Amino acid sequence: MDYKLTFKDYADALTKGKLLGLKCNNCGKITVPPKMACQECGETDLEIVEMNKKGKIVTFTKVNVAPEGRENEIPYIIALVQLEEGPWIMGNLIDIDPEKATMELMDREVKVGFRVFPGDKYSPGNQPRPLFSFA
Amino acid sequence: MESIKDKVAIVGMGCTKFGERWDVGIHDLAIEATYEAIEDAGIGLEDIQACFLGTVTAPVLGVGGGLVSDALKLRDIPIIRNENWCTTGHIALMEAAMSIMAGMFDVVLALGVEKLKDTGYPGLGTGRGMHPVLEARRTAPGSFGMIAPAYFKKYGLSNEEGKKLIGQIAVKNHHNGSMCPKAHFHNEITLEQVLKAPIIAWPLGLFDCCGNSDGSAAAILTRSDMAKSFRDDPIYLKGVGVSTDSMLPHNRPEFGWTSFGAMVKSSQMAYEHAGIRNPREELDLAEVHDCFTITELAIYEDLCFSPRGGAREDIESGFFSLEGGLPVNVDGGLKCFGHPVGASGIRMTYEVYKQLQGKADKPERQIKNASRGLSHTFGGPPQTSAVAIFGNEKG
Repeated sequence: MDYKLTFKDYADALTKGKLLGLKCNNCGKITVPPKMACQECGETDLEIVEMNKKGKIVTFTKVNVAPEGRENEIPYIIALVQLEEGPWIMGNLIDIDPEKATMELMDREVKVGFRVFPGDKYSPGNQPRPLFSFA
Repeated sequence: MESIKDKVAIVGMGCTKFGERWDVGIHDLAIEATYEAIEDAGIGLEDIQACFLGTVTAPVLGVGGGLVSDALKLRDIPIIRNENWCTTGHIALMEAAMSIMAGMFDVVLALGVEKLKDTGYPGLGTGRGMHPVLEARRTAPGSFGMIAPAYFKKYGLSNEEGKKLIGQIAVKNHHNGSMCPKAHFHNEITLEQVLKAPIIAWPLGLFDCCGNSDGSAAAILTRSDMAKSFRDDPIYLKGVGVSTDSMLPHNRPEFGWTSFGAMVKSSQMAYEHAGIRNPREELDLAEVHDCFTITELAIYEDLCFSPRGGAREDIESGFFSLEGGLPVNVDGGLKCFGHPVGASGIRMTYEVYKQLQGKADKPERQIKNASRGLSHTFGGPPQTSAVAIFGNEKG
């Protein structure tokens, strides 16, 4: 079985400003980030599609106590974003002082960018990850 | 599928003091809980035919059954270890029950033990979830914290109203736990303290989060037709349910983040086995997974204690208090009794067992005429949920 879109290819594309997903040729749903089988129906007949990087915040939190090794990043906002194409992705939200986060963030429209986060002893090195800012 | 109702009984249980147990090792915790359980059952270690061990963090790799074989002198019998996040203790209980129902063993030990404090797990993890491209610095409080804005928005609560609502759950659980000698914490707290506490993961503050504790709990299980040869008041297993949803919310779009399929399905499975149609009316107490206050609120609705959107009214009317219609977390819950992960499902069951026997450690905590109780753990969101239901008589 092939990996249609590897983590490396996904990450390389994200670093160039492209958010890639996998569209299922069986049910039409899109899986982001990549997985070997469609998250909706489990089919493996998938094709690579480019997202338009727009979505809205469906829920969020502000983290004041970080995982080990990330203490210097606090406070930061984690947002769960529903992309226009359907999938939900998670990432950090910029464009706002985290201490000023309120319920008004709910449903806010955002665009998807990226930031390269440093690796740690449990990772293969630096990784780009989705970063949201207000549309 | 056949109901498992009344096929297995618990005839002995034990539970250690929970808390920061720097005074003992993990072996001592296992001994403390198991010795109380075998004394309660009136048996010796040599009567145990198999041990089902639940532990999560300690030590993560290669622990196997060796963790307790020396401590409990269980050197020649099967010791089977599981790890299933916060449901680990319940899974040990269910494995033990299944081995009896399969006819493999007559007397088995289900043991949960966790030495959280000195195994380096602060409950925060790496924020990545074993997925190289997903890291958003998500922590356990962060994961559960995201329930709150979604729930508040859906039911028209401002953040201030929502915080006050869930804060009452922490106040209730501390009140209940303050009366429990074995609980991690013994202090009552006020709603004002909850609201003024430092934020851990917005909108959850310090008092919205459960205790990170060391502890152990143990159960001796047998065939229900043999149960009365051990004691006059065995507690019968009425039903169990386990359900596992996605580990990553990314893979479950549109699930709403206010309700969790694993909690709904695991409870429905257990209710079906137990023949319970209206848990709100038919249960006398419930010990549920209040890892965070907002989780307990979601549980009220997912386990059908409250109608959808009805948790607010039930919290405000005191329905889940010790004197209410369905007392929940009568020993203080994870919030106040503490949460040594692998032990928690069995600790909750210990409380249900004692309450159904009418043997709560202090008379002021005893629920009058309790005959049906439920225990529940939830790892996630939105992962894994486990439910077990018990009764003090057959039928």
